[in-house]
Amino acid sequence: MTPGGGSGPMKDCEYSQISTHSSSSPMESPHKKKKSAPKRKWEVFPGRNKFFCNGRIMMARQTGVFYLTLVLILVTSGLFFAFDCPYLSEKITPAIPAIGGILFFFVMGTLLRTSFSDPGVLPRATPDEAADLERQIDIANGSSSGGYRPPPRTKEVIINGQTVKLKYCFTCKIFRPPRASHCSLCDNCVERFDHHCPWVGNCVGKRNYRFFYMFILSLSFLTVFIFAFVITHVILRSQQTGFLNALKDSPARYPFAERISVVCFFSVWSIVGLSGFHTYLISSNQTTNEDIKGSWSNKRGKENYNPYSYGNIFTNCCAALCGPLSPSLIDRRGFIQPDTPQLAGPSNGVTMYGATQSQSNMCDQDQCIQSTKFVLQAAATPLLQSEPSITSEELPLPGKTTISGPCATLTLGQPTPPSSMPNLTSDSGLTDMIPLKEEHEGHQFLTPEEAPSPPGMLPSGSPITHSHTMHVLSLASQDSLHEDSVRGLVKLSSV
Amino acid sequence: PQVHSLQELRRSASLATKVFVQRDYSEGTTCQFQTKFPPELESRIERQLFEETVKTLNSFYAEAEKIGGSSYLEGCLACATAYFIFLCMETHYEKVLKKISKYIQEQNEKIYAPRGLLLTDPLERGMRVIEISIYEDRCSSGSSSSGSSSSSSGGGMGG
Repeated sequence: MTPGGGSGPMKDCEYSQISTHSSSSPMESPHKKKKSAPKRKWEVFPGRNKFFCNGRIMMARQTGVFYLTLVLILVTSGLFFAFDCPYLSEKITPAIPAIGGILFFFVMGTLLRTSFSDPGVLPRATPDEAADLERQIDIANGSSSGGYRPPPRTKEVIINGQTVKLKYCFTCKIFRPPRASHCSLCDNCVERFDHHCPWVGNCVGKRNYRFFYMFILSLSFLTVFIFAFVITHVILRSQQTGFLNALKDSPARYPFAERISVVCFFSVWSIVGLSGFHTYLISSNQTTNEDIKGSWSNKRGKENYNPYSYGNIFTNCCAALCGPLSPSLIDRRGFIQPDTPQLAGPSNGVTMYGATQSQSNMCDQDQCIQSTKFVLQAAATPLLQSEPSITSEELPLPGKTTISGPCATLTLGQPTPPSSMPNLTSDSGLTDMIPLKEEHEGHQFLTPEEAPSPPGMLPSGSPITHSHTMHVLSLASQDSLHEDSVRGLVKLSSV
Repeated sequence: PQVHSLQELRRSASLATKVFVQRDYSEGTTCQFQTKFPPELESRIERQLFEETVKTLNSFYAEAEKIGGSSYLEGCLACATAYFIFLCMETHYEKVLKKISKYIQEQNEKIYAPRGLLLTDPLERGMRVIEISIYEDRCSSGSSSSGSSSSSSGGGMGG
């Protein structure tokens, strides 16, 4: 049984041989031949995802907050239908529960679609591809003498007149396509990466962005709808008995009206705000990621413009919402072909680097609760998106305030303009680069891998993970070999 | 050059090396592949045939991703049904992908296999590359295994 991801990067020292089908199968095939049933690809998926229904459903590891979302929506809507609708349908019109029902159906449908579908995960490079890329990088950099591996190339591409840098992803061993990004929570590269949404329990990317947008839009309508009609209900009743009396009697007469109103009130502002923000993003054809980093902002330079925009708002909206839906590239339910070389990933797909299966199971519940707590605490603060592509300004230097750990954008964030966002960096970029150190030094450098991305650690400026980053950096500086790597990292970041 | 059928290729030939045709991002994120002719194929296939294949594939992908009347219709209809319609209907993109896979198979049978080459559908490689496997005939003499793996082994083997 191949051990978990901890030894994965170490094995990579040897991967650059071109593996023909014969060389890699001896590792995998005896393992597979023991099983009587052929395995499906989702079972050996190297990312940090959970799969259900035999691969049909795909979610992130941390699903606690998703269940909270479900509960909030179901309970609030349920109470509304049970207690307010009978009165309102009699007094005003039965269309009210009907419309409410349609909205509710739409919200649930889009929520489940967003949460369960593949956001556009890019499969990792096959060993042959990776070796080919390696070779090209080596050729480009000339022969390197011992020591550290030279920093990988970033490819530059000109798209519609704008220069875009494609960065090399160490985990997936590919050059990321434009607009793709590596999600440290799910440990996958995702196309047109928008953000990782804990409320939905999944990344939001190319394939599920439209579902996500329709979800928050319909949820806005639903919350406003419920809020308005609960208030209407109370007002109508109070006309009979007097307003103050109505409120006093509230728990007995109009059960839960207050509670529904409170939930709706807070939801309305945050969700409506979020819908507005995403409407802006869609109309300018940007991702949350790009907006936060100010990639296409005028402030970077007069010549800076968004090369992906179609020029007018209408086309941008149509393209994002009604454009063609690309298929899933990871083929979760396909069977593993016995003769195709598989990646040296963790043998049970849901294990994460360096942690044992039992640990991760135990940690799961704790961290679900923790993550929920963090989320609720941090509800007022807009948090930024984790994006491991580091530019020179964003390199986490000691002394600079950073938010370490996997940053998950909370969708409750207020839509503030990019300039007012603090320059947050995520050291999930280190996660990408640390395997660089591991590979050639052969150190079991588990700490940096675990520290930046313990599952479920949503950042509310958690000082613990911050100190881990510092720890990593100071450890690195002690060894001379490590110094080389750090220099390599600095060079990498300045490319 | 020896002529093989597709099945014979797998049985009697041994894989020598693989060439990867990368994506061409100059027009944005739409799926297009570079039409640059890889030097390793110099001796195996005519440049024109190769370019023809890649250009046809590019046009298929452009058709799949085209934003126009029919895709809007599909999108709006899907939205109106809260996307439940995707459970029973095949999208336009998927239909084109099936066409592509048929085309690739046909090209393999007619053009590439007889020259000891094999195209892999980009869909199986995450739409990142067109992988072209170059086979050497096992029963042909010594020149086969040595030459092809040379360029790769030099840089990589160090590890």
